[in-house]
Amino acid sequence: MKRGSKVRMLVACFGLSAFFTGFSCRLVDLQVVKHEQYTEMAVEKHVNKQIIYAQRGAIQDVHQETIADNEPIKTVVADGALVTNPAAVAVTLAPMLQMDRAKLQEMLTSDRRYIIIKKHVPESTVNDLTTKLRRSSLRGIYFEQDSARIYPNGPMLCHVLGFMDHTHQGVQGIEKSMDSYLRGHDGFRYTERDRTGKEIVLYRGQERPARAGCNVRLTIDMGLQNIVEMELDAAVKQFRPKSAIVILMRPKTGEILALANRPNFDVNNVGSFQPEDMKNRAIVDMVEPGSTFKIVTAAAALNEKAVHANTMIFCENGRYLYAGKTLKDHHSYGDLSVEDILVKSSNIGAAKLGMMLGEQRLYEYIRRFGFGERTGVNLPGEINGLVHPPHQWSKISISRIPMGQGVGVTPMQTVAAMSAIANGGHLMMPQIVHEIVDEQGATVASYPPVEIRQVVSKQVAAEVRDALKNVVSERGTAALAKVAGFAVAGKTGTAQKVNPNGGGYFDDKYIVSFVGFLPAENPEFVGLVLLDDAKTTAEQNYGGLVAAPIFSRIAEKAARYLNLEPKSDENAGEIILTQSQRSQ
Amino acid sequence: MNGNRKKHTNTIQVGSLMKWFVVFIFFGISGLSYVYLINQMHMRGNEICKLEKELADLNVKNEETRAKISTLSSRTVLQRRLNEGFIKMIAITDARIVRLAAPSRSAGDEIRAVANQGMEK
Repeated sequence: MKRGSKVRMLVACFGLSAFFTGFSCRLVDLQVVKHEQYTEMAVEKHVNKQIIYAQRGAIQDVHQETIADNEPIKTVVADGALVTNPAAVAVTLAPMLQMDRAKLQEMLTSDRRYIIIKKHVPESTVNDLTTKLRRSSLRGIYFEQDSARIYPNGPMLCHVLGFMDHTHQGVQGIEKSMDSYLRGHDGFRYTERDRTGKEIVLYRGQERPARAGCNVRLTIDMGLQNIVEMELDAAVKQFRPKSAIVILMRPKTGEILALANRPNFDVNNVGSFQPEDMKNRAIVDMVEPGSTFKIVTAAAALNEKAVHANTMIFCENGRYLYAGKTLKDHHSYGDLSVEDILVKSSNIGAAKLGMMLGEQRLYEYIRRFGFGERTGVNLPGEINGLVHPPHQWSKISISRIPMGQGVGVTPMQTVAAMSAIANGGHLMMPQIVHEIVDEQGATVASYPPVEIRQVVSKQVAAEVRDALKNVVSERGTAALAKVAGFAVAGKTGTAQKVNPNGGGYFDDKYIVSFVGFLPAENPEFVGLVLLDDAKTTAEQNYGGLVAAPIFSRIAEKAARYLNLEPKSDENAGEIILTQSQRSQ
Repeated sequence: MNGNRKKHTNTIQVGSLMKWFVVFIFFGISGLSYVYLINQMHMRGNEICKLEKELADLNVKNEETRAKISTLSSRTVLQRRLNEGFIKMIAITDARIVRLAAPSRSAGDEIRAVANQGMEK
């Protein structure tokens, strides 16, 4: 063989070898070096993780009446990579979904695999769309099952229930505080699809079923809630207050039986309301309690044995100069017993009881009754209230705090404190959640009554209760709180509104309240009625005249609803108010 | 001459042919069975898909019905129907309520006359 031919042969062989070596290297690169990368790409293309959404748990009342549930709805979704003819798809979808065709076409002209076209689409529309798309052989449009939260009772109990945001996260009320229980756990399933997007069931991968959220059972009784809401609506219509609150609580257990605020909002249509309407004022607003706070002073003085129920206190004939300021009573009283200080609601008597206790002991009792700290109710956003320690008190604080001025309390704290008196001195934590149950009805968590502390002795609680029974009599300030057939104990409150701008108090604006319990000897419920700035005449704007009758109407219906046995000799007959009772 | 004339015959190797035939049939049937089973699995898969969808649809319908029942039986709706006069209710007056006092029990109350009295031996 010639030398030239040999060289050519070698070059050809080398070239071929290099060529195939190149191929081999590329093969090794593809199969070995980049194996992971290409496997991932393949998996990404064909395998997808399908999320199985967990159903949110329902919210029920104590009798398992549903007050928040889910309604199935559909969401129209597009896979941009599979929509080959966006214009045709837009023409088909736009009229049925009531959307702008051009805008829809623009949305569809994208390579994104997940485009949300429209949410909350009715089932009938989805059925029509499916038929049309199938007939036109248009691909890439899917209908995802979704759910919307519904509240069958609309605005009723709205502040307790709360609501959710667009990501299905609770943002207020029970929806927020119990979100971890209600939400459940989403499941998943790995599926493979063929080139038409159809699932290949044979290649179905790992799967974990969704775990539905638990149902939350509240302590709320919708029968009582309905009574409260109707009476509150009537009161708002009559007095047009800036805000109004009613709370019913079972004193022995701390269970909240009903809770309503005004203004309120429709939970099914949150967007149409102002944030002010959505405030649960029972726990996020603090007010000066006024005379209802005198129960704390009297109970503290009795418990410390500074006085006994019949100790006579000189009430300075209605004007008491203390630390350069004059403290007045509505009427001039001379000597009043401790019981009568509550019955007549004497400011001077309460101030003197406070002075007998001293700053430190009074402060300790205020805190022992639960003021100045959260009650622990299972609702978000609760505030502490405002109780300054004695070293921050002014010279006149000891004469003002005992009658409910200079402290900020939430309505929930007031109810809890009154419950302590009704419950033999035991302060119970207010409870709004009764239990958590799973899908099968098995109890996941329960909330037994929690006693926070013994605030005063049983005997002192009974003495205060007896005094409060007399408050709801012809002698007292709350004769209109009577309920025929039942002994009622309670205390009125009429507090001047604090002027947030100029300091001091408004002359013509009041927060009127009544907090009481029934039957007095064996209380089944404690109720609070509070109206902020009720529009009525100055002579009528008192807790005993505005809030007490509302309490009476609610308590009467509630007693009947709870099937409490009336005693024929209790509070029978007509109530006639004296002039002095009218002005307390 | 005749002696050289051997009768040449091409005998069919039946045994060998049968062997290949069996192998061919075996692979053929195996292949067809494989295809058949794969098709069956796909068909069953599709049926599973279809049944799952039917089940999901039923669940959705169930949920829809439940939500509708919750709404229609809610206090707000019932109250509205009551106000519209669709539901008639008459309030129970106090005069119509009879309360029965719980019977007081005394010692010996637990001993009751029974039907088989005196039949014991």
